[in-house]
Amino acid sequence: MASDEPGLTASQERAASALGAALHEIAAAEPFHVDRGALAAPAPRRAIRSYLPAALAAALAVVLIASLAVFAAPRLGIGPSAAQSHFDNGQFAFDYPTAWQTLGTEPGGGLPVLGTGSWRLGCEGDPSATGCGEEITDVSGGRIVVTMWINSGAPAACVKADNLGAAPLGDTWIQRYDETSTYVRQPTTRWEIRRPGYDFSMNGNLWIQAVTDNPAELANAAAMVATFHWEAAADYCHSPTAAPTLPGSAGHFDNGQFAFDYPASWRVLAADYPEGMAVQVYAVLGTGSWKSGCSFTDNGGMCSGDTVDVGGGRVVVKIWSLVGGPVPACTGNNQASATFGPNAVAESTYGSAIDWQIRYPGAEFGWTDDVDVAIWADGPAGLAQAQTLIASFRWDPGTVSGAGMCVPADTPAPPTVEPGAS
Amino acid sequence: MERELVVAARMGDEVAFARLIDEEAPRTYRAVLAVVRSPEDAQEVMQDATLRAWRQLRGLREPERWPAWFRRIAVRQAIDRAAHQGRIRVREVSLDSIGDQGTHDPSSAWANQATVMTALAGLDKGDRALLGLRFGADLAVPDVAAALGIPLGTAKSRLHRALARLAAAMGEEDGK
Repeated sequence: MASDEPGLTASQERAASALGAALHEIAAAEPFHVDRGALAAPAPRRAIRSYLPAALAAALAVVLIASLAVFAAPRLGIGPSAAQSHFDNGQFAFDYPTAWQTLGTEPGGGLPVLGTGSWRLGCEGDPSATGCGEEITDVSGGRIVVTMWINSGAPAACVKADNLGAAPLGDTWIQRYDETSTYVRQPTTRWEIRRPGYDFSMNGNLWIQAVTDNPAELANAAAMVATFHWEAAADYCHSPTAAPTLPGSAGHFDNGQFAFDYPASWRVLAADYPEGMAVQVYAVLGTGSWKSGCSFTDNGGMCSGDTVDVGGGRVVVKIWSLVGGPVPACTGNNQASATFGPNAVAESTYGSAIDWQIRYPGAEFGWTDDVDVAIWADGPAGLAQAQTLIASFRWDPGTVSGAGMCVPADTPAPPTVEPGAS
Repeated sequence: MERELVVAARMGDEVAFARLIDEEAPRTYRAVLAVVRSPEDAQEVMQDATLRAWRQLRGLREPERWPAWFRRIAVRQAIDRAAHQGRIRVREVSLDSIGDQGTHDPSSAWANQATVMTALAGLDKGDRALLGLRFGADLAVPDVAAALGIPLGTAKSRLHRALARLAAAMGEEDGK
């Protein structure tokens, strides 16, 4: 650790020691456990973890009682009796006290910052901030600052909707957290408001945060939350649809990026859905039965191996790929295991499924956007059908070549950027 | 032993791969934590890095390079995640979770964590990766250099500068 680092000043020693202690403590409090089920699945997937410590979840139950009292009568004695201002951005709407001013807008999303205190974003060179983007909030004298944001990014896979003691409010589900924020270092209450069809902790939900030590202003914020409603619903809780259809025509898949043929007698078991943030499934087809490997519990969810039955000579084929993520490292992995028609493939075996991977144009095996075909088959006939499918596989004209898109193995780490950038 | 596990994992032995991850993940997780500054994000990065490693393991020609190879995958994932964090919010640290660890002074530990995580926000992602590997993963400087794929001398000088920036961001001054 720091003590065996030569040439460090005393301040560097202290900083190194504090850093090491903090990282070890946080990691010990919330250790990482690999989702081994994902390794056994033909299509790797992420575990979805419960995002609240048990102790905090228990505390929420207490907080919830107070919250429910506020939600039950948002207009009857709690909150301002004077006229309310109305916010509506076409996505959602709520009322808030006219005494509150618009203090600024959140970077990125442009959502308003409301309240009676002062709020601004600090930047480099700002003596009161440690970097660009840090909030400088002053709620002294019983004032309040209310911020709101929507976490961007791909939505996570679904988890059970009513876990962790959430409170329903009409068609809006709200979860409340009371903590002393380490970010703004002041008493903070946050509400996560679930978008219709979403689950808690998913990207796309709205977060509202009130910073104040004044109970009356906190009640105003709770009343504001109680008036909240979504104006447009969108179901991002992706799951295989009940009656999936594939792009293209019967027996011919074509999504504009690639195409393949399959027996027209096969049933479409699922179509175009993400599994977690890393996998996109384009199609599940065949003559057997198939059930998604995602399951849900009171504490979150887990995606592991699919449940597949191909007994009696049946077959199930799943076409999928890894998506997103950083530019991959170059491995020189171009060694094919087999060739079907014009397509060379790398073969893997996971559990009872065989996985044949088709390279994206110009890419190596193992990259994101390579397309995988996982096959569960009972007997050689099913395997032969799957091989015929792969033999018919074509990248559509216009698909951009991925040649040169990897990072050479000995390339140094990405160059550093200016301090303050994240 | 590690070499045998890598060879077995490369052939598709999930148990061998899980043992490799069990051995390496805790220290790499702490390094990732320094980069993304949130346990939730760090866990997702580690999960994605693990799956990526499993998928790409066949491309690892030299089993001896396994630890550095995996760390590099994870740190690259973390740097990428940090670059795409729409708006970074340092995770709220539960006082209960700190108390459970038997820390002698929970408020002191909490304050240290908050100070460190806030100070890390002022450093760039590369600095955070260096510091995380050195003081979170407890790697020797040559191993830090190997994980990042940079020369040893470069690692030493960048580490020194990063530590100075961290100390300054934490308000640490010499002579205190």
